[in-house]
Amino acid sequence: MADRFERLTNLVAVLLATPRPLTLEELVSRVPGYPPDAQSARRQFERDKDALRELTIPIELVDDPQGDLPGYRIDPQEYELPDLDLTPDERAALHTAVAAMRLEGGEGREALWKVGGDAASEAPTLGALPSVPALPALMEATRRRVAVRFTYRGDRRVVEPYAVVFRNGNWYLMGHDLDRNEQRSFRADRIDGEPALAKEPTVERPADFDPDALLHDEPWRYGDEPAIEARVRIDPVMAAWVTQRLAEDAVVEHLGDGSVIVQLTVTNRDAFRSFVLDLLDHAVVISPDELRDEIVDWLRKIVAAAP
Amino acid sequence: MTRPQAATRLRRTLAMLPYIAARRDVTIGELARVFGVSEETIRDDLEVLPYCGLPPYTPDRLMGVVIAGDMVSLSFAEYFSRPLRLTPAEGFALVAAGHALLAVPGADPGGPLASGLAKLEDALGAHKVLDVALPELDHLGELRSAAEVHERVEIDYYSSGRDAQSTREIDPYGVISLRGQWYLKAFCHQAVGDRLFRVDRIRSIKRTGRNFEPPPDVTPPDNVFHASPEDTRVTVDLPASARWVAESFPVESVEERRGRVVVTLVVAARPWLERVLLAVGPGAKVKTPKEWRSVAAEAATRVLSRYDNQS
Repeated sequence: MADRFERLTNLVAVLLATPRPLTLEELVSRVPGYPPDAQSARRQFERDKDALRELTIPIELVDDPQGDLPGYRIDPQEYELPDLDLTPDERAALHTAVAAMRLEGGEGREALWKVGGDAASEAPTLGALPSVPALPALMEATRRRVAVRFTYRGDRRVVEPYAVVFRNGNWYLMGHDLDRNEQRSFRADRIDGEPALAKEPTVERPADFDPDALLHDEPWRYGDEPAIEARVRIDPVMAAWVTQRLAEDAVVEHLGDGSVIVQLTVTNRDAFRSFVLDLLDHAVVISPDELRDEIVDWLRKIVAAAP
Repeated sequence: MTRPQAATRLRRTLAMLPYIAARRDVTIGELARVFGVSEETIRDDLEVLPYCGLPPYTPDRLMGVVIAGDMVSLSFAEYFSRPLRLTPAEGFALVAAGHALLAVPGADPGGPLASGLAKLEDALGAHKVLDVALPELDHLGELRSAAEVHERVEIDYYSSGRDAQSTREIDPYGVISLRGQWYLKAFCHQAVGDRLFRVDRIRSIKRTGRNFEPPPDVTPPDNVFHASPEDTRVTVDLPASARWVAESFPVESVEERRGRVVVTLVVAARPWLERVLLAVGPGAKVKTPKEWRSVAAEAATRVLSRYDNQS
């Protein structure tokens, strides 16, 4: 009795080598290991087909001009990795990249099996990137220029994807949100479940698309609230770090003691409050009164809630 | 169920056959190394293959896999002579790693990595689909060059967890980018031990001109957070809106109770917890240890005192 690995290997070989599509009946009679009963054989074949499709083996069901019934086959053109025409240096560089920049839970090693070349001799690790389950599908959608649908913090979104980018420790999908009719960025780790890809390529990325223009570094600008100009005084301990983090023109005043005053445009007050409080007593909101009072009120509530 | 195992073996085998087909002298040992499994597993995979092929499975239609001692050769399997195209997950991993290494300051934008990556993206139809940026920091180049020549340096450092500044002498081993932040791995003479420093919190750096003996093997940390027995375990009861705390920080346990989230955080220093609690607001309640219950109120009072001085 042939085991499943053997049966799957034979199934792929037959489907790749066949000059014409093979019907289900032909397949289960030719490939050893299927049960004699037609119903069980069909169920078994369906499971095998799913397993192969999960490995992205392109099994297709096509009409056979010579036969009555549609049949299965694997088009070798679709199956095979196109020749990448890599030089030995280029291949080695890709091996080094996978070894040096580890993608948590990524499948770079499996990719290298197919690309060929020898495993990188102990390349020093230079970094690690987080990975999230939605990323391969998001890249696939972007590559195929198809709209993608997903659940984002509880909301359904339909987006025409422009790029998948890594910034500030997070992966983002950037694109045109079809319901809101504007360009948006989405944190990939906040997407729930597997994104669903549309069939037809409809996405035209604007020629002037710039991921960094769309992605504000500053969380207090992620929001739809009316913009307020806030001024915050940063003490000497944190002045240098905050200055390095903000845009050039954010610092509006250098004080004699080494403190700085920064001005920020706020469209998300919650995020602004988190930013200021993250600096503990190294930062004080000085204007407008409205924002200053909000922070003071927040802190007083924390004091009042103490046991 | 042997189901996942069969698919895993098939995946490996479909990659291994083209690898063998493209070479003259392949050994079991080499295959084990390249495919990251034991020699025994490779033999198990290969031993099945002579029973595979095309109907009617007569000897001339079966795959010719010959294992002579340690050497492996292959014939009659031209349908398996090309590798299967990359899965979306594989394509993503390879392109992401390539762009990430190119984003390291100092990488050669005209070198073999850039040209190899461009060819890969052409084949995948993935030109300009993925983009990685890592922060460029003032002291990064200087630290890397000091690490390369094993030169001790003096740094002014702000520790966020402890909310304190200090000047210390360190032996820099190397820099590493973790989750988008640059860290410096170094031996710290003040702490007398290996430490990880955030490069963006290094305010200034001075070369000392003195060299140090690098340790034989410096393994970069997998994770920035190292729970240590001296750390305090603090259990906090949070509103559901503060679930991000459990997603953003090292937690020992997370429990959902009637719309609230109870997390046990590993806390190395008090200012770190203060930041978390001030961000969550009045809805957060420290449960244990008892003496940490007033952390948020005390921190809030301290920050408020700055506002009183102002007005």
